[in-house]
Amino acid sequence: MPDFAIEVIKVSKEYKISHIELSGFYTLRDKIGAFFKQPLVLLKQLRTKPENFLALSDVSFTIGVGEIVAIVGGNGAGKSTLLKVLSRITPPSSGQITVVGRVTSLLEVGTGFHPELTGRENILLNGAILGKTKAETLAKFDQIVDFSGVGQFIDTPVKRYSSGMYARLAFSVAAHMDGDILLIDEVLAIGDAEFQRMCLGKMDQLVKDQSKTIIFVSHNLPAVKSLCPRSILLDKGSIIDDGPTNEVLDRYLQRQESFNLVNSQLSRSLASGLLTLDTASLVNEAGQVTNSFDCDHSIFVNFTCSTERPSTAFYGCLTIKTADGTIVWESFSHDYSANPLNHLRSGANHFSLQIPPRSLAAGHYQVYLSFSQETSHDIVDDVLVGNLELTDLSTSKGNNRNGFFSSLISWKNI
Amino acid sequence: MNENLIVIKAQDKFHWHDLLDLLKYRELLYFLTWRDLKVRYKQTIVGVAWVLFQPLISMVIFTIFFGNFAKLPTDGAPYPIFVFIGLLFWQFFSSSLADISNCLINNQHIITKVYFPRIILPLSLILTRFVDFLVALVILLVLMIYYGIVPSLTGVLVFPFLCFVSALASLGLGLFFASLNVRYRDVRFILPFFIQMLMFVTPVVYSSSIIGRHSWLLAINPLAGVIKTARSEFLHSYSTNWLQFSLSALACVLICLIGWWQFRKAERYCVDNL
Repeated sequence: MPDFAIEVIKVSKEYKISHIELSGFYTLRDKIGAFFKQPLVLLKQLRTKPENFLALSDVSFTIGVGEIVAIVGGNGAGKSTLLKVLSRITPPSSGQITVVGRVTSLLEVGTGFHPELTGRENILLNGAILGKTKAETLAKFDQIVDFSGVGQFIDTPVKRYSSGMYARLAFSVAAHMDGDILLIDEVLAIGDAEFQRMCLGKMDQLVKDQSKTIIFVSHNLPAVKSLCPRSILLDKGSIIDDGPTNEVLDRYLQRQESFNLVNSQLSRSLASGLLTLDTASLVNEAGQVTNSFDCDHSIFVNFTCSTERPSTAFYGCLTIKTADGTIVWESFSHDYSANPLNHLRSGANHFSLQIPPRSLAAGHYQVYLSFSQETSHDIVDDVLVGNLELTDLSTSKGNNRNGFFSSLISWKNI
Repeated sequence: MNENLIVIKAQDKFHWHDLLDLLKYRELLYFLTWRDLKVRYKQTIVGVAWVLFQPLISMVIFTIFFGNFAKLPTDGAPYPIFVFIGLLFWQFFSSSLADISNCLINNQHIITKVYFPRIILPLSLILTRFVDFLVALVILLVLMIYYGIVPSLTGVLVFPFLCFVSALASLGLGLFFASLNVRYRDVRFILPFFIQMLMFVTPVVYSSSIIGRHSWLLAINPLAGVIKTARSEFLHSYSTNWLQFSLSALACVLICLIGWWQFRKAERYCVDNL
């Protein structure tokens, strides 16, 4: 008995961008027609090698029993292809995969749901499609119905369900179809916030049940962070990073920054052409442009914006986000009644925003600026000022403090 | 070997394991058949009665035009029952064939998301049509009682085999078309035309004896053998040519193997083409 759940050895997946599609000979008729019309062209096309697109190239990894692994990467990185190959929907072009255990792949919720069938019938059908026997599905039936909350509508055709009910039932079936190995793709991407919370909660429950091996593909980085201890980063079909989630995600987000904006010249203007953001940078107390700071000193966000003529009614917003996009803090130019952006001189206007010491906890952040105008609602959207690296040098907990704040309070015995 | 150990490779040779896999998914076969039966006649006025209407109306029309006006020879049998035997097998065959040919396309939302042995899809479609066939069989029984015709014992014994051969024929051709259909979407449009042509070269409305001494040529058409044998055994109008029927059955097996071989190639890569 092997001691792994999934072993992937040098797997590649090649898609042929075939000459047929390139030349528009989609149908048999076209092909036959072309044979008579332009026999030489067709012959030439048959000879030219079709162009290939490598969706996965030489991917190898091993996943142990009970491991929970996230697969992350940008669009077209090959995440979905990998999941399809693992779940036997499409074969690899080369390489070998060994899977030990019963696999349940949830590439979509509600696969095979038929609108004319009732909730009850669809649960059974969906179970069968996912490879479960009727007995297995029936054993979970009450749990599925309870969790979905469709209750009394269980014998109503699902075409009469609201989209929310439909999604809940579909997810509920999927979530209760446990195998030894679960392959989950973007299931969380659908539905409203409440539904997503419900899904995450269920996922969390599945994760805590140590016996299962889970592979999870998602764009939802906070979810990945909280659910999966290990991540595999794919880019253009190859694995470029594999390790503990925190480290992989940090490196991933750093790679995503195509440019380092410390001190760079910005030239973004409002659509109206009235306001131009010329420069923006993070500056320390000594007046130096940098991106590493410590918690005990102020951080200044300096920016220069210019207008051609004196203008009014601009609003500014400073946003600090963590690497995964969670907003930590927002500050608005109109937080107080006197909005300094409300009366801009013509030409350059310099601003310096001070973030007081001991506000943010140690960590990596990103600082953004955005502007809008009352009359037109034109927005300079989230211009990245810079990456902010904060360290906490003076407290005993230091960089190991969790959370977003580093404000210190005194513990008084009164 | 551990039954839960799966090895996924680029080259997939046939393995007895695949048949075990099929056995594991037998409930899916049942559920898909049940779903198709259940859904097909929902929101129709007469519901399941459609299964009876279709062959019945065809029979009436054919009897009026081919039996009464054209006076096609039936080797002595009453035309309604003569044509109905033909229609029974023909409709089972042609509707299965049409369904199977589109099975990969019609179920693409499932097959691009979940793995299961794809052969389940055509099998469930045949089963669905076979249920229709059994319902329509009731009309045949009524007709036989009305005309006072008793089938021979061999006829009754060979009947399941006739169904099996028709199923094999539709499966073989259907699998072949299904694999073509994934690549070339015009198969969808050619198919109804092809099926109609096929009906004219199959002795459904006429007796194969009108072709005279070249009627053995029809044996290549597997369904011709089935219908001829059914007629001879049920209506006793002529003695069965077992050699011809064996040839038909053999042709069926051959078609089925070719179709299956094509389908196996297609089922692995169809997801990339859909």
